[in-house]
Amino acid sequence: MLAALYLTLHRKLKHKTFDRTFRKLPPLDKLDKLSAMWSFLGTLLMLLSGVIGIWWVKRENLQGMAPREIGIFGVLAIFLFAAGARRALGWRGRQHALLVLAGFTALVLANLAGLHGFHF
Amino acid sequence: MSDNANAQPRIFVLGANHLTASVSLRDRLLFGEAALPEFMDAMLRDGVVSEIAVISTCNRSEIYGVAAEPREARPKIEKAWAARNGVSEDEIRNHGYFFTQDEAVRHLFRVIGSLDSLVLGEMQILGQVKDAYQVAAQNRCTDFYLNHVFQSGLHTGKRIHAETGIHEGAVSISYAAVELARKVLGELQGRVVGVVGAGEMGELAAQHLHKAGCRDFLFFNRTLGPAERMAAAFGGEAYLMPELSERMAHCDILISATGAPDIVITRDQVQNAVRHRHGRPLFLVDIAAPRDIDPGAGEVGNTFLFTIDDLKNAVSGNVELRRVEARKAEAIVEEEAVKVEAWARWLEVVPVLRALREKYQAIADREVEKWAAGQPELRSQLESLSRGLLNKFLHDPTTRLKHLGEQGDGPRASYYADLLFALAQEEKQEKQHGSS
Repeated sequence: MLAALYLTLHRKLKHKTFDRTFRKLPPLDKLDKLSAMWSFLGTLLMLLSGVIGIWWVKRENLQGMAPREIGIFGVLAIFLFAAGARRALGWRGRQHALLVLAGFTALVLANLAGLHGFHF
Repeated sequence: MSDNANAQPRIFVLGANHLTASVSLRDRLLFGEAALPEFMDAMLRDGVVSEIAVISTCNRSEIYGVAAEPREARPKIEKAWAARNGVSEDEIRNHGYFFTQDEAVRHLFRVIGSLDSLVLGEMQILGQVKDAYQVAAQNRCTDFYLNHVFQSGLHTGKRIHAETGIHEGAVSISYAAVELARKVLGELQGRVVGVVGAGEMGELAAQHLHKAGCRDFLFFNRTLGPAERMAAAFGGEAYLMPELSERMAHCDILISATGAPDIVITRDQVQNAVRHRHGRPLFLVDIAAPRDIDPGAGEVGNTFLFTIDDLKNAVSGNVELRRVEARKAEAIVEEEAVKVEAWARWLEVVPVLRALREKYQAIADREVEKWAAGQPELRSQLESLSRGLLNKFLHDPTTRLKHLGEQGDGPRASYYADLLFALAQEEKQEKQHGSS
């Protein structure tokens, strides 16, 4: 959500569209920082749930992984990359927002795949 | 009773503003802070008004007063104002305005709501009116009438501020640049500002940013002298132009306002600076004519370039928005003014209500005195009983008279109340009793 708002405001600033939405949106830098903070927290939680999931699979001696679980690891990889690139490569702002949105889209797709019961 | 009804307090305003008077006349009509209480005291002492408050800013000087006959008070105030400020009474009359009752209330509400301001929507006026009211109240120049009207006005101003966007968006070019910088960078405290060119425009931009909280300034100029002078004024550092490329990466905001005929800041320079900024946004403002910054610099990632034309567009959009929001503000003014009108009409029946209560309270007091003489305990019980009965008996007549007053039927209601409850007769008896 914050990343989408960031991209909206970024576009309006680049195109000099000073409309009502422009006026209502919070500052770009704030949106960037909030988006980074929440996506980082989400990544940590996802990482934690992944570790617990792996431990559970081993404990219960379960075999095979559902597409949702595989997808979640892909999502996790995107978010980890977004956080790492922000720190190491200075991928802030638009690049970071695009990565976060890509991660979010992947998350939705992974969940949809899980709902429709595709199995490998 | 009828005499009292005729002597109803009426509000009026006598003033001159940016629409009616020239700057020089407005300057001469101004009230200094120190002399204001003395003027208001004199008006009260001479019985010209029963309440008074004065709003005096660079765009308007207005005297709000309450008097039984505002039209009689007007020439006296004009005379005192003219004598005090060294202007002629004709100047006040010809370049001023005079409103009474509903018109005066609406005018005050429009002033507080910034609908009558030189810059539509500037909310500084709300604080100025609040200060003016406080000065009047602290000097005991206001009573129930102006207290009610000003408090309603300030409430109206707050509503307009909260419920409309009339104050939103900058309406001056330099402030628009500051607002856009805030939109990109958020809080401006601690941001580094680079100013290229030490001319008037650059100085004005630095002033606005300094006011917005920026304290780290880097001034770049072809010659060091003017840049050093600005650095001394704003507390920054001065550099020669060739150092711009090297130091650009430190700047969060870069304003260029040189008189150079060619591009001063190239796309490559900006790209190089952005590379060293680790993704932090760079806000560029080009207020020079011809342009100083390569238009291609705005395409570099995480840079936001605005020219003087962009700022003008932002301002005109904001002005239009304020005009639209002003319609909502006018509706709020109307809504609140109607409430004050109803209250003012209700005031017309207040003397009748007071006389009614006084008459029956006196009867009750006499009866209590008769039955409880020398018995303090019984007196207290009877007083309590009579108070309760009085409240119950007078509840319906009071609410109905109040309702009729609010509906604008105050004089008729007062007449019939006089007739039915023999209030005038009671008054006459009291007068006779007093004279004997």
